[in-house]
Amino acid sequence: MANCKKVTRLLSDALDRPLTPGEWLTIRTHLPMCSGCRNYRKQIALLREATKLIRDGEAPAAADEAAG
Amino acid sequence: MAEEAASARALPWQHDHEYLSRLRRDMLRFAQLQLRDAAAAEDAVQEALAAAWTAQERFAGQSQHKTWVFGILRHKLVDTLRVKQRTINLSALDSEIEGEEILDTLLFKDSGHWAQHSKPRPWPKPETALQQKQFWKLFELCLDNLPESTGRVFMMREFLGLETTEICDELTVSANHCSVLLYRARLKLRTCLTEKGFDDSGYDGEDNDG
Ligand SMILES: [Zn+2]
Repeated sequence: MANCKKVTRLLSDALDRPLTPGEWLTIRTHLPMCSGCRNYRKQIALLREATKLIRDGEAPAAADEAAG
Repeated sequence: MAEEAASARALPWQHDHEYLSRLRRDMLRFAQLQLRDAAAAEDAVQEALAAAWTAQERFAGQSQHKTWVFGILRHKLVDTLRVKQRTINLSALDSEIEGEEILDTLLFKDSGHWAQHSKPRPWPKPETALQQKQFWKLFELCLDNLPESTGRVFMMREFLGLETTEICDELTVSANHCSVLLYRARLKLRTCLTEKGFDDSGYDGEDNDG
């Protein structure tokens, strides 16, 4: 029976490799009953989006610079 | 000086000193996050800028130019890390992975389900979060807080865009180790952001089941 530890690991793996149908099934049966893992999934998606912006030099400079 | 509005479109990037100094600063920040070494970061940025300067390509605008220069910088950083990684210490890596198991017991109950206090709560929507200065500040802070190998693997994957297999080969660690490190990095980053106070108290609580 899948727990959050296993599901969060699979959600992370999904960002790096294709998951098997069995792995997706594990995720799909767990997410509807777990807000923690649903939020985790959105959060790591945001981390990826943020790193993409930094990597293309498109992130706003955080430390200095007042907003324009 | 000239009006702000004009500088946005009129000046070609080669002559826009304000743009060039901003570009240099952003590149340094990026390189420093990766290398954690100010002198090495300075070198990488210098080399990337020199290479960009001699290439004389044509660009539709500053943002296209910037993306291109960052591409060059990424290649430089991959090279630098490639040399640097030979110093990675495998037993240190092992102990880093073991040490992180403490994190598991803090976050998860024995059953493997989220502990009550650590269950992720909603963050602001991406459109909102990515506009917030607070988010970027905390994000950089948390990136800096990652343990060394964990941070390196995460940067290689996300910032340099390498595939997991390439990273494993580079670091000569198993595929499983690699994906564990990436998992830890993400888990730690989101936990760190939350602990440092990034949340959305004004959020309507749409994703709560408790
Ligand atoms: Zn869960």
